[in-house]
Amino acid sequence: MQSDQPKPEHRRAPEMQDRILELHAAAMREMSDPRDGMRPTPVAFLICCLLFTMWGGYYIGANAGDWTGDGLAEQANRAPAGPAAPQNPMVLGAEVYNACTQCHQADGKGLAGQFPPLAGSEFVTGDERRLAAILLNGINGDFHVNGQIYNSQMPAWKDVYNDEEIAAVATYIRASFGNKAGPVAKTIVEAVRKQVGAAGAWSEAGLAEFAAGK
Amino acid sequence: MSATSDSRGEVVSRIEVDRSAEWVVTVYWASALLWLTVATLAGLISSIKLHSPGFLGNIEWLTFGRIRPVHWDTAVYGFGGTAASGTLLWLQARLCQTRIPFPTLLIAGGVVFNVGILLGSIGVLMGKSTGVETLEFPLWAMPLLVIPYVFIVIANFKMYFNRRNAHTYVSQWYLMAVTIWFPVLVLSAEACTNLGAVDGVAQAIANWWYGHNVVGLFATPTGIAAAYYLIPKVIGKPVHSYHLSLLGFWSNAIFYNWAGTHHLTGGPLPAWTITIGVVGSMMMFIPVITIGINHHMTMVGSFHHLKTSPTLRFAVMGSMVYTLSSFQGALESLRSHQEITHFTHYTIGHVHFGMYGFFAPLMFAMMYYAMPRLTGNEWISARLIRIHFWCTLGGMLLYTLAMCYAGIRQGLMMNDPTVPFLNIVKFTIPYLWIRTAAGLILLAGTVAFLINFWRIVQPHRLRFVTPTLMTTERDYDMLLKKEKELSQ
Repeated sequence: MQSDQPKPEHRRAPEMQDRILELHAAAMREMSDPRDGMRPTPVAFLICCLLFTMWGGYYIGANAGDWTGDGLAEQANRAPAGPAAPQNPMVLGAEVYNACTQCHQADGKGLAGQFPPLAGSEFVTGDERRLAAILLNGINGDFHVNGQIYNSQMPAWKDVYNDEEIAAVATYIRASFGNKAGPVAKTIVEAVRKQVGAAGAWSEAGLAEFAAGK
Repeated sequence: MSATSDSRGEVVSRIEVDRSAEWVVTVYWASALLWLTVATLAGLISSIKLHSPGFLGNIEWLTFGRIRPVHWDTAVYGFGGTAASGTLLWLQARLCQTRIPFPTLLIAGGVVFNVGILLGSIGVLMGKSTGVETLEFPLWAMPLLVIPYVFIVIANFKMYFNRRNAHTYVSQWYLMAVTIWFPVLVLSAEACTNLGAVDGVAQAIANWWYGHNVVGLFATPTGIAAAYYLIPKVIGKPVHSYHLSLLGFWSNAIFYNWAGTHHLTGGPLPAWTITIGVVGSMMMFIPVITIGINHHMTMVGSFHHLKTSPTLRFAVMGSMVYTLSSFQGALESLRSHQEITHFTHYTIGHVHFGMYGFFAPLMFAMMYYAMPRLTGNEWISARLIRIHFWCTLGGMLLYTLAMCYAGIRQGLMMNDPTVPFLNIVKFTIPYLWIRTAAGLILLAGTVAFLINFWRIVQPHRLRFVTPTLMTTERDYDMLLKKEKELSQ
């Protein structure tokens, strides 16, 4: 890249005969095209590559799931599923509650006029069957909680979560945000689902009727 | 000068080659820089939307689901495709010591390619995306990308068969391989995804086989070819070991192709598909270490050139990041690693580390080296080169570190069911701001380079005849002042 003798920094655009050289100053000063050196590959390095390739073969053999195409990948390597250990409903419920935070907020206080609070709400801490019914089918239309009116729609969760998950999130909200009501059993959700699972979203009046008719 | 250039014949052939390449390669590289600017802007918009969702929120064309694919596609095809094509043509011509054939057709091809990317991007912005990652361009735009590439493939083979050297240099292996691999990749991936040759899970496999290979079997070999040429060329020493080159090339060719399915870990795929992806990725340690040793041992004793040569600085940066980002990528494929980092910002950090830390700097190095030869002028401003280098290095490091750190923390929190999801989102916001800042730094570097590029292709009354080095005091104002003095 560097030349031996000092050169002027720049020149006036020259006449044709000088120009050929100057136009190609870069091409003339550059090094010749690269060549290959012939150093041998270190044998120790080749042995390492070989050992590493053997590890690759071992890993494939150990994690191939018997080369079947019908199992889901990540289950193939796990121990055969026994009866699932019962999960702590408060942990599972907190996980499910992530779906609720968008409306009811992470602190369970809701949003004025739109989404009712869960903290200190009679609908949460009161009748377990009514709570399960709300979670399963959702709510449509004006709805009064603690004397305030709320009018946003609550979606139905019956097709999203199973009974265990619904029971867990009910248990979770009944014991969070300052609420102190007891857990909701999975059997209650099961029974409510059987009774009203085919219906649409509740209206305020419909829900009251359901709760009274028990 | 006589100590560095061996024969008169070689100099003449260089000049001949550069003459035939002048317009073709300049057109491809100029498009590359324009698309890089577009891609960076699209990336910035996407980035801002992640921490300030209302930003440009009511413009349908700029919603996140449309602008993000445009960012990636213009980066891969717009910048990557044209930069790599220019590199491929010039390098192959130089190494074969033969002129670039049918330059007019290749220029026309370049124009069509650009139109294809433009129409494809507009299609995606209009909401016509296919929804297949990396192949989002509507199908009608694809022939405009594929046909010009066929010209490049033919030109490449023609040059190779007309070569004056019997010996095929290692860069040429990679360039030949790219021209064979890339058309096969695009056509089979399109067939298996958008054209529906296979269904369901197999489609997802084809998609990620392609998505990973477009980086690994297109960008990477082109970048390595550039590094294998530029490093020994600038410092004037032979490449350390031909045998290591061989091992690196073939292990890269064998293993990379298998790696793509690691993107689908946790998905509904047979276990062996993902296992093979993991092993393919881990085996990449072999070519990466081999190539790393080869480049490092070539450089040993010549690191002082980094102080002056802009080409070498970008090339060595690219080569070093190749080693680092490939190590990172190989480890990232492991199931135990993915349990934390899959579906987090970590992956985004990694892909930018590779593309902007390895591939892009090597393309910049090619341009810094070749443009003075193609235009017969020197880079007008050393200051802009310095700005470009430090912005590229700084912005890339800031981006990668912020995203990888945030990704690991994000992954750990997502694995902890007691952490509410919203808290995780809130945690990442400062890092998303850092990402936007890093994007702005990268954009500043790109603009500096764009200005310098624009000025070197301009005709000037004065020509610099000594090289513009990192340490040279030289900028556009000096040129204007001298020109003014001369005209008086």
